[in-house]
Amino acid sequence: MKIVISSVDETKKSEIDPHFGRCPFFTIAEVENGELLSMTTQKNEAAEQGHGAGTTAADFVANLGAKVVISGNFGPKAEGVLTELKIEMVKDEGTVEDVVKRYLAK
Amino acid sequence: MKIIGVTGGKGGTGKSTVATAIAHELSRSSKVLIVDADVDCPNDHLLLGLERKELKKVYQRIPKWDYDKCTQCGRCGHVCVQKAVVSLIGINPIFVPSQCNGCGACVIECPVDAISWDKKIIGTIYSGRKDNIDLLSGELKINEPVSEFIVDSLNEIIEEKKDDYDYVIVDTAAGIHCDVIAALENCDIVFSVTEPTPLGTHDLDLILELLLKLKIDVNIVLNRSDLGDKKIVKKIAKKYNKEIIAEIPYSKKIVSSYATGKRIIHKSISKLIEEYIK
Repeated sequence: MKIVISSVDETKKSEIDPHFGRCPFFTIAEVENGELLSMTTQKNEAAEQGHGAGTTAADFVANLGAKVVISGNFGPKAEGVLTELKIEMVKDEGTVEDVVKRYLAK
Repeated sequence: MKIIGVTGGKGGTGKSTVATAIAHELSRSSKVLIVDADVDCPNDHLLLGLERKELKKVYQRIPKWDYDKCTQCGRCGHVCVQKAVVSLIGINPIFVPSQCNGCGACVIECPVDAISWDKKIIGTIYSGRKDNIDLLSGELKINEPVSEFIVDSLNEIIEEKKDDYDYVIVDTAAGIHCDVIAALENCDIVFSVTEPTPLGTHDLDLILELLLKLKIDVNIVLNRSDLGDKKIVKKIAKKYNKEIIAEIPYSKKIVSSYATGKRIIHKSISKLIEEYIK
């Protein structure tokens, strides 16, 4: 299962970004049976878009096949689309590594 | 009948103040319609001290999906530059109406004609009247993307009603975007209101370039003319072979009238009307 985290930077020590649609990077965590298998990072192409960043980012994570997204916050349009797509939204703060661990420990 | 545009590039230079002052002065002997085309933030009704009444709603077309016909191919979302449609293969497209500008790419792209047209309300046109001045005021709904559609609607009403008036004054928004262009395109003469500051001058340069491209006659009105540096405005005026035709000083009396919604009287406005409008 994939968890996507809005991230400030490209490392696992990066803080998570408070904005879903306009975060600079997405960290993609691959997890299986409550275990973290791998983490990769991709640039968020929607970050510098004039408008529609929220829906573009939602489209992007849906295409990755994510089941869960973790961010500081979700804009109303992104939230609407993610709800329709049945992707779980989790609001948290801290480093990427910590928020994933915290999610898996739930 | 003459259509007079009041614009300026920079926000807060006094466009609405000058537009309403011209309207007041002209209305003493002529039939005047003032059109508030600053549809993101209309406030001529406040300067005129009148209450607006709703005249009509403005609609914009939006797509509508027939999910029985939809094959969930994902193409509609792929062509949506506004990202108002999120479509993944194997699920029904998700539509965010407030983000849609009605371009119709999805309707054209759909291979099975599953998308037809619907509409949404994007704003309201108001009307009002006070002291022999008629007002039309357009207002874009919060969160809607396309303000020029409201200005287009105002233009349609101007076209219908213009022969009832001697003068139509169109007060535009700040900037040089499509809503400003739509507001200026039918004007016979335009006044560009600026201030003697680097910001005012910079944006004056932009609006004069736009008007040159639109081939619309323009004159410069300098507000708060005794503050800042007049020379920088003159330099831009010279670049376009224009002159400052009216100077309104920064006076306590004018600011006080503005702050309390009273009409602004100044000899520069009377002179501007005598020499450039009548």
